[in-house]
Amino acid sequence: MKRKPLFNTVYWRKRLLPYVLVLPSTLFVFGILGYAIMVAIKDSLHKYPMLATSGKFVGLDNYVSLFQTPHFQHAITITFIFVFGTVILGLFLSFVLALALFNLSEKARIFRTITLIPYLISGVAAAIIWRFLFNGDVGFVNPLLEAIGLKPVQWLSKGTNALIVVTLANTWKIFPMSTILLLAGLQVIDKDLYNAATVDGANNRQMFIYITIPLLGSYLATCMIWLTFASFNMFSIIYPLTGGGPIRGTEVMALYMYRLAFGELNFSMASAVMILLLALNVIFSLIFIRLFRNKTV
Amino acid sequence: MKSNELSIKMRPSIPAFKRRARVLSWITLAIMMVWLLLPIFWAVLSTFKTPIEIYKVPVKIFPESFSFKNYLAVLTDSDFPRYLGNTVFLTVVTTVLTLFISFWAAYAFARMRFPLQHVLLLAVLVPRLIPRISVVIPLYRMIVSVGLLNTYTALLLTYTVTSIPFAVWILTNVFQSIPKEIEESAFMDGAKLWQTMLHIMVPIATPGILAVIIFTVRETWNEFPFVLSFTTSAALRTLPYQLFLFRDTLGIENWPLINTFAIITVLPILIAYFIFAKQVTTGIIQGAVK
Repeated sequence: MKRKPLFNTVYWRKRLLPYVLVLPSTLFVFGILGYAIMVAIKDSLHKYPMLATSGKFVGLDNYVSLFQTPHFQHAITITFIFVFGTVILGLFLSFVLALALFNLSEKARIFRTITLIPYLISGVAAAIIWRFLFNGDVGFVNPLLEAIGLKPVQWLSKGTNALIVVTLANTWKIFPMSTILLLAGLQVIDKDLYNAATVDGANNRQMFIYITIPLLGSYLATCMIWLTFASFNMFSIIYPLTGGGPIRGTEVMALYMYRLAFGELNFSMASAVMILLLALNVIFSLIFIRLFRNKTV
Repeated sequence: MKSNELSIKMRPSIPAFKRRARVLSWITLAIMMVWLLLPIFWAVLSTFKTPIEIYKVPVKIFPESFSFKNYLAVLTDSDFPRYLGNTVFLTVVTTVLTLFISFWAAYAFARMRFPLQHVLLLAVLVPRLIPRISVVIPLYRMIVSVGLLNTYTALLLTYTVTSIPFAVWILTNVFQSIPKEIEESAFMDGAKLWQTMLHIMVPIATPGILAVIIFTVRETWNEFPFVLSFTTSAALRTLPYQLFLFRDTLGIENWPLINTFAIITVLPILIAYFIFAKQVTTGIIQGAVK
């Protein structure tokens, strides 16, 4: 820079302005969220007497005892069932719905709009709606089962059943997003490929397997990542729907963490769970990126 | 749009298959719409019923008479304006703050070259991978230690901070896709930075800005874990939080009333969505694909 006066226009615009524009967001985000993560790491390595803000350093003790806690092992199992169930079901439903919406194109426009509704409403509202749907006295599902000759089921008072309800509700809430994504993927496939394949005598099933699926690969991967993340960190549906019950039957890691912190006031253990949750998020994304890097077009 | 003409081009010689695919698609769509809408319909129908009516055996699907008593009861509740006011206030302030901060940051990231640029960009973007629930506990401890428990400030700070990464991401992409020449000619004519922004960049970036607004509004309006953890005072309660407590506070659940409250809390978002449906869909695709 030629001259030094601070508010020389060129100097100002070229050297200082970028930082003035960028720093509020950077400081804000990194200052608060970055600091929060450091606080959590520190907390997870200490043992605090209840409600105290200082305690003694215990190294990885919290993590070790966490893995020895049956409730935590249970929470991991529940989390994986919940996430796996949602991803499989969500991917299937998204794919089927996206194909239907794509085939019908503009005729189905209003249905495309309707598809996103569950994604837009709050987790609490979704939880209330699903609790009502599966309620033993006033719900819709049990009368429906009886009408087709089946026995009514105790949906929310039995652990396994409640886990099914929670997984269904979660899928319902988040699969619209992946549907719209897949629909976008279908729309960008080059139509000449189909024309060329038709000329070569390919039938529709072949075109689907050899053109649609491979070209949709990166979109399917994105959907899978998205569904995994959204379910893995799901709190706002499960907590109002079951509160983690009955008897911890739907207590996923996020809920276990919340209970440790705000129920048992054990913030150091809760922080350890949080760090593990974050680490799992990172590991998942690395695995997904590895898996799909070669497959994407 | 496009897809109509292509479906004609696509399978010129096999109309029989096309018809079959079409019928199949409609059937699939019908089933999916039942799955999507049945939970909501069942709740909406109950909002017109009386508490006794919903316990009747055998189940009556439609209400005996469409009464709006439940809606009146919720809307005329003396605390309702406060919950609504809190939600609107938090949503508006968070959205404005997020948009303002992210807009300038995104512009600098997209257009200017400066030392540490990539480090700073990463510092804003990486937290996009951090889910809200996973920072609740350390944030709670930080809020306690600075004495901000039960304040709007705590909520506004945490809401904004978790909204900025996504907003910067979207807007940086938008600015990068705008040709540089457009603003450069404005600068040549002696326009100030803010003038160029207001009159040239804002209009071009409108779809991206709308996407940011839509996402931030949806997130803030529906937010639950933060308000649950950082507030206890009834004065700060938002609609989702009150809905959550509503479920618990009544001895015997008054389902018609609870469902009415639930429907009322989601209506504003849904109405806004139906007005901006196209932009929302585009915004969601933009946000997720990248």
